[in-house]
Amino acid sequence: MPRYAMVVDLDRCMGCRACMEACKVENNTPTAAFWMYVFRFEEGEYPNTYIWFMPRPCMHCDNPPCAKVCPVGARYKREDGLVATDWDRCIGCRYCEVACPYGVNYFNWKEPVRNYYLDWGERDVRRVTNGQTPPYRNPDLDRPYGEEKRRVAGGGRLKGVVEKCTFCVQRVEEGLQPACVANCPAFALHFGDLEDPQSSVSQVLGRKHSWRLLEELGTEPRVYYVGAHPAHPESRQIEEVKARV
Amino acid sequence: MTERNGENGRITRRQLLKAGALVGGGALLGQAGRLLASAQEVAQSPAVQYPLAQAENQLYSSCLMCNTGCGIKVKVLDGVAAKIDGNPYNPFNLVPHVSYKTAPHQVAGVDAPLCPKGQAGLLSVYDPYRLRVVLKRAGPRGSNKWRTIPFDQAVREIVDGGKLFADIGEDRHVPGLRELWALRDPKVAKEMDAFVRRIRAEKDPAKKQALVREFQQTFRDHLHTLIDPDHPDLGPKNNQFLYFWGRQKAGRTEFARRFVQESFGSVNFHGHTTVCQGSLYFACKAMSEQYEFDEKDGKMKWTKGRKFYWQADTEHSEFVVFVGASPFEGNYGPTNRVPRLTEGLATGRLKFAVVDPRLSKTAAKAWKWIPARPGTEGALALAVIRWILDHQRYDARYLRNANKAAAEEDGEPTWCNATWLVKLEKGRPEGFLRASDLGLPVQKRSQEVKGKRVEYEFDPFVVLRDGRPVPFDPYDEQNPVEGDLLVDTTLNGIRVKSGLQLLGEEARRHSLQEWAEICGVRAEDIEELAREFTSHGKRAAADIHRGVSQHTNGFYNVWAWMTLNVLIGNLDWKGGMASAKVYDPSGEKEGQPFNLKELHPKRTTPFGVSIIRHETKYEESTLFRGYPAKRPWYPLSSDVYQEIVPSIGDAYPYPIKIAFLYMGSPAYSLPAGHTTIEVLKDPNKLPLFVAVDITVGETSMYADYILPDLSYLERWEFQGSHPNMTVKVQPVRQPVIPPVPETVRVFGEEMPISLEAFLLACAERLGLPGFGKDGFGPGQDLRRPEDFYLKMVANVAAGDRPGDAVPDASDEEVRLFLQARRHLPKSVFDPEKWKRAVGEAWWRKVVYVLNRGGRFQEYQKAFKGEQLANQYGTLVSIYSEKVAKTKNSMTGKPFPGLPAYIPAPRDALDRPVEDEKAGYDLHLITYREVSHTKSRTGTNYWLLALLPENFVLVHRQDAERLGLKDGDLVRVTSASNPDGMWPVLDGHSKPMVGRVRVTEGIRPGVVAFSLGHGHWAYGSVDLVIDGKVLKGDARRGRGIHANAAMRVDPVLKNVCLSDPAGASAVFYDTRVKLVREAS
Ligand code: SF4
Ligand code: SF4
Repeated sequence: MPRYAMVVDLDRCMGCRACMEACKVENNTPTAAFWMYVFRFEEGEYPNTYIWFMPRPCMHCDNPPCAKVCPVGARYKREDGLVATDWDRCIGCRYCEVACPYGVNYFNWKEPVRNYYLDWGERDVRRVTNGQTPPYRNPDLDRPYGEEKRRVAGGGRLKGVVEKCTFCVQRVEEGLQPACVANCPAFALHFGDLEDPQSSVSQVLGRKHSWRLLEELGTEPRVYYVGAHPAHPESRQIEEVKARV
Repeated sequence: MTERNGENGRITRRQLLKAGALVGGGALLGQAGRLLASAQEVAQSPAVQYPLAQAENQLYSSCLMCNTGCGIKVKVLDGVAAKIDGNPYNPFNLVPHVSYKTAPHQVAGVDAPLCPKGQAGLLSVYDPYRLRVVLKRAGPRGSNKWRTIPFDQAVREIVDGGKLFADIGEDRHVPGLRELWALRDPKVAKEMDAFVRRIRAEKDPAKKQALVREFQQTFRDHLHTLIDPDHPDLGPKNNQFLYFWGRQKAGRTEFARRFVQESFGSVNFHGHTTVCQGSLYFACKAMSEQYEFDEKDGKMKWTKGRKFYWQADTEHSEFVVFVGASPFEGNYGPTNRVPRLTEGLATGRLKFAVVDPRLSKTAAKAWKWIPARPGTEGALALAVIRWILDHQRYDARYLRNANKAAAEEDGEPTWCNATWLVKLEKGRPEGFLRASDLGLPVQKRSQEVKGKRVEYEFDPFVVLRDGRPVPFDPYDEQNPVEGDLLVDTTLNGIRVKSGLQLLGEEARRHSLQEWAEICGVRAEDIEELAREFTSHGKRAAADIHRGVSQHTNGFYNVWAWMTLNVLIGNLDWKGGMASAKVYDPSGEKEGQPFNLKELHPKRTTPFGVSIIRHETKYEESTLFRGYPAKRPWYPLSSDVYQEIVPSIGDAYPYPIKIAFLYMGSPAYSLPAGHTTIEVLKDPNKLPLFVAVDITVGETSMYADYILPDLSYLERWEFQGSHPNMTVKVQPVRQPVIPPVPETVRVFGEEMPISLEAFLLACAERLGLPGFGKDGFGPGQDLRRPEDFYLKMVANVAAGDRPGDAVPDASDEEVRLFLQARRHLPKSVFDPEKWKRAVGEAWWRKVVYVLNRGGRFQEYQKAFKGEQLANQYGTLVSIYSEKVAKTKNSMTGKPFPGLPAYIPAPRDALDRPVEDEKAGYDLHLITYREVSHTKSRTGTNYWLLALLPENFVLVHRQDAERLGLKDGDLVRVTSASNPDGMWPVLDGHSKPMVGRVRVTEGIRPGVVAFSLGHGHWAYGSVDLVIDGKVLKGDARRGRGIHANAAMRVDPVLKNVCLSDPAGASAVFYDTRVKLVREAS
């Protein structure tokens, strides 16, 4: 069984947010939900000003506080390391959202729609696709995943459940990289098997000093950071994406 | 492929493993290898399928969410594009890219990177505000009232003219194309053109007049075809038809040129270059001029300057200074430049400096950020030049080479004219010293021109070698000539200096400290920059972009920075400066099957001065009446976008009667673009205005007709390359989804409404030669877009010389080709018609190219030892006598012939513009947020998700002074727009109001906004179509677009400030005020 992990190289990341967009397009996430989020920070005073960037997916913790508080066992840790949500079990109590110190959970306020930014049902929209089904999600996502055959990705997620980054389980199970990793123009994101010494994650971790977010909480994230800054107290967050479109 | 294991043709893990060995030949996997490597680690659950990873659901094409045009892999499900990723065959997406020989099945599981815009492209294509049918205005121009009309009616009206708007109470005759197609005989056109050349060349006014009379006599039967027989150099009435565009790539360019120039015979076919980086292109054009025999003029002259520029080979550079360029945000950056730069940073190979008043995302990773005052870029370059000359840190060995033989001796692919002697006339450097000036012999030469031997003279240039004059030919391959670098002497009574000497004098006009003060930077920073720049041999580069060129002094800023590259001799060297090389689709290369220009039964010669007076001297025209000219002439540039509409407004040099605008939005994109609205909405100034657009945009809203167009996922184009791309490429854009616009019938063929359908239909109705039956010649029809574009693909497949052709596609690849297009309707994909367009011989090669999204040289072939394989490879000028002998048409003063610092901004009469004295104390600049592209992305919902509205960046000190805080609303006002308004319609204006973001990351005194937001059309407002309201979506209009605050030229009054030499539209020289608005 592989042990999946992600390594984020902050020396390479140039804050373009392509990973955020890739995730949004691949997973059709609701407005204002970013399963992958890229922080942009500014610090210092002119002319000694610095800006730096920090992508933040779900940490897929080995000791996941979210799973611990889930009253129905919907949030669980898979053997390969992915932390997943079973849509069929989730009751939307949002305990996980509160328990997670990284803020990666998003409550699903609405029925899932084909594209959260447009109402694809409208005639005006359908006419541009000549009446065809517009792109709203990868249609094969609606199926059971993993050995345990649970629905953890895709259009099956409902109103009233909590959702977050799945490491693109639909791709990973097919031998592909998560969408954010594949799309990063800076090759700042690595994904692979920690058990395999040849994998790029093992290689990068072997070469560079790494750290994890909020290490002191004992959550044991599967997301490692290398390079540049750990968050700095005087860093000011800039260009924050919060407004609903 | 047997590994395409069994059931349903899904990709197996084994196959991905196998693919690893086929990428780049095993060892050199690069990033593609990395993308595959993890596949080896990932367990497979045998029951699942992922249709997006199947080759049958993938088509390769080229993005156009910005002009980088990265390779894309479009994944199609149920006939709809479901996801867009990067094309691993394309070096824009992967370094090194996958070998061209790899079969498409083998890379089906490799998704290469794309920037956020590229990924969000689906929502630009499937945009609910896209047009499917033709709109004709049903109210005054710009009223947003439309009615839908049949395509054929639109074509009929546009071709035939008439009282087209009588139904809405406009009782005026509108001219149609037919009326302007006055001169139809190519033979007469050619003769007139030759005669007009004689008139222009005549310097004596009386003799010029006599020639005009002779012309009138000679062509007395054809004078009615001219705009003005007293000014035959204005050309025929055909010129009163104008075609202009914002973004048009090869393919569509050739198609439209065939219509406008080669068949209809109008000279007015203009692009948008000057709104992007005109002065960058035209300074590099001046630097790349060659001294050659010109067939038309029958003598030697400076000619063939390339409209191009150089960029750094960042894949190998050790040091780069980026000036006014941010490859992490724009600048052909993501996806193309970023991996090469970040790899350099990560491995420690590269460090770079960034000169930019704003702390860009690129500056975030810089070794040194130099926030110089905008407009002083040239001063900074001269300061660095001064330091380099003072410390002799230039590449003397390179600079001494005066000709090709000398360069070759040193293994240098290029050489420059630093040592050539320049004559001083009354102290001013002008022409080069020639052998004849010293009484030395002139060479007699001759050349075959169209079967005739033409005799001409070559008067050698001269260098000083150890104090002795040596005449030479710059292209001599036998006799190496080197010159002394610094020369200031008198020869045969003539005062002469070397080019490098003159450059040194310009650089020494100020001390380093003074230069530093002009730029508002520390002298130590300049010194450190200069030292670093000269510490890496040829692996250093100065890489510049818009921030350098879009000033009134842009041309000279650019020249100064590019000259720095020449001083270290880095052209064509790894890590130095590179230039773009493409597989030519035109068919003009030996071995290519279809020369599209020649394949024309009746090609004509357009002639006459253009509406923008480009590449032509005012003094030579019959309109010359002393200085200033009514509007500026642009002898050193072309595609002067900002001059098009105001020149129509002033009817100078003649009125335009019909204009077609393709994929452009001058009202939105141009600095002071609001001035164009005044002209465009007035039918008296422009009687017929037709736009080809995918929606009702900020400029097309003023059109009489809007023809719906195909998006970038539905059409053909040849994306070409960019200077930083060291690999020779030709990405092909091709239809990958069914077309959105309605299907119509033209020349008996079904096709979607589009630019092509429209031009074909106009040609059909006019009976224009070069289209329809026998359009290419007997037995070769041009009825469909593919008849044209597939021939271009075949040319690409053939390569640039015999023996360079791609292999034939295998049966399996042909099957995949058909299978992957199973969702395309016959109106765009009919395999039989496609095959017919190129013939059996080329068909499989065409398939091979299209299956990979274009043609891409193997990675290893792009380099030759320490040099780039795709070279510029000739003379480069740091001094230009052609420029030195060209006059500013407004002042009558000649332009300097070498890099110089000219303070900005200046108006059309070369007087300083000093709005700061009137209290406009902030300097306005623009920038690119990586998720936006000027006018066409600000309405894409997935991109709006990342940035729903843009900001006005204000430095903390300025914010404190003005009492502003984060999130406050401010209005941007300027001396030429004191109300801070877009005058969109009569009685309706849009205020330029945006939200402040206070930052430490900008030079105090400078404010900035990012381009792409603040729309007032493009689906952001209500339209009335056929009497019904189509609701606008306010999300699409958020944020600020402050171009209307940019300075209107105080002399011309209906255009922005411009660079008189390089023609740049000026973005960065405006002073503004920020006025707080109630929130
Ligand atoms: S795509 Fe890569 S470079 Fe861009 S923000 Fe994400 S991690 Fe950073
Ligand atoms: S940089 Fe982005 S928008 Fe531009 S062509 Fe590439 S992927 Fe498309």
